Amino acid sequence: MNTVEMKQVSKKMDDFSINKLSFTVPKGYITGFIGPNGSGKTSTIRMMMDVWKADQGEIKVFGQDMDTKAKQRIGFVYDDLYMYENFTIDKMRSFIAPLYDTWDPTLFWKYQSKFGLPTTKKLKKFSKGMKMKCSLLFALSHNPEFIIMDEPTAGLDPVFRRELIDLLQELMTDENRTIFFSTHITTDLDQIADYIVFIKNGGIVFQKSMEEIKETFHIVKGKNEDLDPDIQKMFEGIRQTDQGFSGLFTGNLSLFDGFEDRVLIEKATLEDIMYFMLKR
Amino acid sequence: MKQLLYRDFLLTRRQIAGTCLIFFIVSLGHYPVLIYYFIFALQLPHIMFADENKNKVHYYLLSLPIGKMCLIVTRYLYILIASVCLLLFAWGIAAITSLKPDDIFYMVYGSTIYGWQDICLAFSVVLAAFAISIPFMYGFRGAIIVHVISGVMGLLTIGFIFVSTNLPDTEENWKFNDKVMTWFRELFPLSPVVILLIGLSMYVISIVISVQLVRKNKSLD
Repeated sequence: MNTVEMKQVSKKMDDFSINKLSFTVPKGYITGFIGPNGSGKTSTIRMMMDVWKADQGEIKVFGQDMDTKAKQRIGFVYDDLYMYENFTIDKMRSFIAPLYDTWDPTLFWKYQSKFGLPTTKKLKKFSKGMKMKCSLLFALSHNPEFIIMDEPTAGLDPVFRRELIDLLQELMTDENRTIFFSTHITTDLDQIADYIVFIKNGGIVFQKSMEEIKETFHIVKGKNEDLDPDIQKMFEGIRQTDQGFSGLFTGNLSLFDGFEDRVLIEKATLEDIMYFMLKR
Repeated sequence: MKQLLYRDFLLTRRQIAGTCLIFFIVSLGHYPVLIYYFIFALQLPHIMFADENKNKVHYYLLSLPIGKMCLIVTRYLYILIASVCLLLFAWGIAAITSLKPDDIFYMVYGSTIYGWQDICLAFSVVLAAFAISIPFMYGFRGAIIVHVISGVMGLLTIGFIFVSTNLPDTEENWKFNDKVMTWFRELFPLSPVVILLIGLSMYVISIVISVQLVRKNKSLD
């Protein structure tokens, strides 16, 4: 069962286009949505949330078109706090809470206390970290089945990024919960993601589980003198320095058996994959 | 819808309270409040849209379980309700403060200024100003455009007030009714009720235009 299904979704904008995007967000897992800046992550999320209409294709959330009933089950976290800056948390709560059928005041106060957010301070006086916590507070207080996060860690310090990751892991103890986490900071996802969707120039490069990724993608490091044109073609992407080369390899590792100690093979991180695939 | 009306009230309550206070003070001085009504009523959309557009609040609003059309229609409804309430307050407070038994001048003055024709006309002008300016605020996302539109509408309205009102040095002292009605009747040979209907029609058309703008993804994205 998938929480989101996107099939052949296309949208043309003035200076950018999404081309026949197809991927799924499996229910009960954390799916990371990675890609460089300007690759179409936010545009895709906007179409998913029905903020933008796709020109072509089909988007199903909970097996249906996005509507207000579906949004009741979704918690949304942006890269910034797009709320009324002159409101306090108390005021925002009085506006937001009645909109959700499943709003849980106990949960709200639990997170408010956990995040240490002041309820009577104007939102414009919040720091970047506090703004993100505030966004999370409102996104989580109605017990959403599906949490969409668009670059939530952008501009945050490592301490809060780690706290956020811990919180997401805690949230995933509910097996019915699904998280879709868009980021270009891939180290956040190495720890928590179950699936990865990689987008580049408005098109999907791949969708794989983390297990598949760990089995498929490897970094091969060696000396430049071992790198002839035939070997170069075997790599998805390659980087050469005076000290040697390193490349992203997705094939059968037994090909390097003859190299013995002259090559070093490691599992590729998401950052490695993104780097080499974008460099290609 | 109730929550969106409440949200708009939260956004504007201080300005509305301040405006009511100004109306009260002005009325105590026996000056016609209706002229101030134009200035303050026209600030309502500006207050709401400037903050929203500056902070891109529509991004957040669209993630909430609220329909896009509901967002627009409720905003129009709130502006209508708030401007009617302000008008009634201006009318009521001026009527009360003008009714001083020992001061015949102000009694006459008060009853002359705030007749039903004045109310119809003032409200129609404000409705027309809203009808023209609000679609621009939905059509263009920038906060600056909201300030510019509000500024232009404010200047036009103040210009209208000066054109249509006797100035303080006249005997009638900022008397609103006669000159503006005469001016309007010369311009449009229609009764105030018809002018009010035109204002309301413009307002409804404005709602349709804003909805169409959003449907075509020209705004709220």
